[in-house]
Amino acid sequence: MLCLTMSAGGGNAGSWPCSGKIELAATGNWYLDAGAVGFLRILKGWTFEEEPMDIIEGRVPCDHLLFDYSFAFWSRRINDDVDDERTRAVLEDLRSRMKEEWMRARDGERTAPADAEEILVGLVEEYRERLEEIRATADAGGGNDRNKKGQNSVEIFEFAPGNFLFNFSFDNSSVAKKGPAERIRKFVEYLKGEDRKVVEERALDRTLIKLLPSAEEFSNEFLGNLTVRDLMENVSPLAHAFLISIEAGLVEIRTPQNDRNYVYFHSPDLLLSYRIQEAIASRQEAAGARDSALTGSLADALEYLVKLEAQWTLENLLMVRLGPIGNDQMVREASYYPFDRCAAEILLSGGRALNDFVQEICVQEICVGQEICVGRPRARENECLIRGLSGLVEWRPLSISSIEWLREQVAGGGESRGEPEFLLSWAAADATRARREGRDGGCGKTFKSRHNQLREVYRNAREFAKGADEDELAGWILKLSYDIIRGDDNVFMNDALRIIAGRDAAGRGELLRHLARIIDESEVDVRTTSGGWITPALALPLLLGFYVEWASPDAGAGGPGGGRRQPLFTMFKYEGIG
Amino acid sequence: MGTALEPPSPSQFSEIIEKKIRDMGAEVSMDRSVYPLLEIARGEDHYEMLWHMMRIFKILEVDQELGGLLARIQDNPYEIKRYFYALIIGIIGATGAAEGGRGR
Repeated sequence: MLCLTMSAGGGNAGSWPCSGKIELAATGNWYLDAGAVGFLRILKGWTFEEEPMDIIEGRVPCDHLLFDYSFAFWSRRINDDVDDERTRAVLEDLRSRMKEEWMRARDGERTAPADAEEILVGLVEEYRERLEEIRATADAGGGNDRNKKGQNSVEIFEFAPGNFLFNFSFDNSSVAKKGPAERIRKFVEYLKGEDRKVVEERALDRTLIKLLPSAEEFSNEFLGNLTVRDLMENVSPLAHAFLISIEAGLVEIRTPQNDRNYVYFHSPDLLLSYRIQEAIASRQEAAGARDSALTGSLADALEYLVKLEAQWTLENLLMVRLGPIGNDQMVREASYYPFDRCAAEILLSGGRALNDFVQEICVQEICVGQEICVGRPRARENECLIRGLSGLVEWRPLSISSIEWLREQVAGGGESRGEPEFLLSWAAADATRARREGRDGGCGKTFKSRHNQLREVYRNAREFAKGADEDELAGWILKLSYDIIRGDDNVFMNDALRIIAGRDAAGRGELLRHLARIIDESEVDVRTTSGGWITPALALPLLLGFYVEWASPDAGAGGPGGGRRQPLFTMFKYEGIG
Repeated sequence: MGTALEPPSPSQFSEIIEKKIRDMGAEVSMDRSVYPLLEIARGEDHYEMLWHMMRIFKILEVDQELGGLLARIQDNPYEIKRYFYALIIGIIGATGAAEGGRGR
């Protein structure tokens, strides 16, 4: 048994690069902040148990943090992917011993780099011997388990997932061949800031860390030109530790296609990001589900958002999604979703679970334009959700795309595509945001009342259109959609009134009332927004009602020659109704 | 001295017009009343719109009640158009038989 009560004297003599108390704060750069959150997540269960407030507020000395981190980092890296029970038990024991020795060292105020190195190296040497013994026993017994004769012994430590840290010598396979002790020595050397090759000579881009983009792609060119040393000196003396913790800050989620994606919720409040990442990770562990992984992650983030009071924080939130990672370790795709409370409230309004929302927008068998992909097979649910959400969170109105889609359906003479009532949700979301009522909170309530109001308009539009000739209906849709797409508000109002005036049918009064409301609201819109008179969101339920009646099997019962679903571009010439 | 009343919003205005037409039992011809007004609304002749509003107010005997509104909007073409459309909505609303006008 190795004695672990020696004094400092390993190969890494000297001190950590910082010793005082330093606060942790978000930098605004999501890579670094994800690293800081990863740093905190690695230290959970070591320096703190529940919430990292002491660390964030600078009540833990920097050198202690790095000492703790050394142990927490390698404990996290202990190989879990082992079939053999005895081997697994030994590795589990190593994890416990690491904790014990760490506590003993901490109590004895032996927190220098040399102490960390000496204790960790001592432990891995001891446990490597134990693993060798197990392998020897297996060889002697001719066992057919994983450690059978002729195979290498089990690695004590894993590499970073996706080989993200391959360029760091402690995570490089050629160094790993020299054994885990060498990896630890290299690690401590880096953590002291003395691995000059990495800290001072390499550009801070994907040539160093696979998760980062290349210097050319860097959205923040300033960071692309920096070195790790620059960050340590000018951003945080712990920045080098953050960089090797990015992966721990992300949460891995599986898509329905079984691709690995990584999500990170970036905010100017490090504690908020930490809490959300923890919540997402906990959901992933508990559910183990794939089809709702991203949805679940977003739901967690949204739950936090609706509780949030700080306006500035709300306006600087970003969900980052990475992946999947290709064989070349390139991140194939990075998506960014800025959030605010209004979007969150809309998505969670009226007790509506996010999953229901996704069902509503994604599971129907239609696809709306390039912007909204609706009803692709379930496997594409994430893609659909992302498109829809990105429209919502980026304040990119979706109603106009919906109207374009309705128009294409009618113009193309397509077969009936059901009743895409979910488009009312987009219209209500757009209408809510157009008025910016979310600035004072209450977006959820506004959305709900808007939704009810627009559903009523839609219902009345259907009533009004019932029994109308199919070609007449198609004419209405093409004419009104054309007005909206062209942005000719005056002509839209005129055409809508001619249609309503020309037909004495149920629902008529309510449609008139809706048009009057549009006129009322136009005053506010002109004062506060771009000056448009008719917002597509308010026109959409009218068009949708007409469309659904046009698409219904009963439409055009009395129409000429049953000429249903003829392409209408050839039949329709735009003229004023009259 | 009394305080000026807040002018009606376009939707309130259209309801006033609709109610007045119904109360008077006036007959409205789409061809002779509504479509010509829509044709005017399609254009940009705001004085013509104003003139028709004054004329209709007189017929409906609301010129005292709503005269202030005209005074307020007369120099604002955008406002004239909004209220002109609201007027047309009120007139069309009074003509419906299917659900007794606005279906309330």
